[in-house]
Amino acid sequence: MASEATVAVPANAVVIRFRPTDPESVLRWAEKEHRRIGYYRLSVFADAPREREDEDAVVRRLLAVSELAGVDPAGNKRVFVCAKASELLRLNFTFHKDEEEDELEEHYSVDLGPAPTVDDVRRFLEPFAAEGRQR
Amino acid sequence: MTSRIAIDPNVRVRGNETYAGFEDVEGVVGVDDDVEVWEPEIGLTGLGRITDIDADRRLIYLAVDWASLRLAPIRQAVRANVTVYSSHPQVASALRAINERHTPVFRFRQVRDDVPA
Repeated sequence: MASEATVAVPANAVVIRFRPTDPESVLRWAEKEHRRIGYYRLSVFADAPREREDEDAVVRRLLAVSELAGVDPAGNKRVFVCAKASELLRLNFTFHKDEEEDELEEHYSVDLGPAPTVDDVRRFLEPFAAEGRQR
Repeated sequence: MTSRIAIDPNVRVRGNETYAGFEDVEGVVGVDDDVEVWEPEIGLTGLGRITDIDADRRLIYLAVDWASLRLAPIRQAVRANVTVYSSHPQVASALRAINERHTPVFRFRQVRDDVPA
C-alpha cells in the first residue's frame, strides 16, 4: 500500500504522461486516487537515460513499458506529453512508489499535496507544456 | 450492449491493471465483464475486463488490453462531400488543427497558383 515515503528519481529522468491533460480532468483522477489510498497523486512513467541512450530512446522505452507504443505510430495526435524530472523536482513535487511488489519499475506517482486545487494541477502540468514536446 | 468505462491510461495498479470510479461507468457492469475502455480527451478506445469492485470506495478495477488501445475515428452521422474555397490562412489552419486532433478528414488541394493548399 502507498506510504508517505518519497523515492529518489534522478533529475535527468524523462517523465511522460498520457492524456488526459485537461487540469480539471486530471484533478478528478487525483481525487479518485485519494479515495483509493488517501493521497492525491498522479501517475507518470519515468526513467533516466541508460548508457548511450538519448532522451528519445528513453521515451520509446517508456512507451514500450506502458504498452501504448502502438497507439499512434505516426506520432501526430499528441497522445502523450514529456517533462524532465528536474523541473518537477524544482517545483517541489515528490515521486512515490505504490509499494506493491508487481508495480511497474518505471511507474511512479507524483504527490500533489493535501487538498490540491486546479492551480496545483496546472503547476504540475506546466513542465510538460514547457518541454514543448508533443508526440 | 457492451458497457464503457473511462480510464486514465497513466494509472497502473495491481501490476499492470488500472481502476476507475463508479462515476466513469456507462452501463451496468459486474466482475469478469468485458467492457470497452476509453480516454475521452483524445478518443482512445480499447478492451478491458473488470477484475474487482470496491463498493466502499466506489472504484472498479480493470485488466486492460493496453495494446488494443487505438485512437477512434470520428463517428460520422452523415457522409457528405464538402468543398471549401478559401484564401484565408486561418481557415486552412483551423481545418489542419482538426486533422491533427482526429483521424484526418480534410484533404487540401491548391486551386489557385497564388494561394497555397
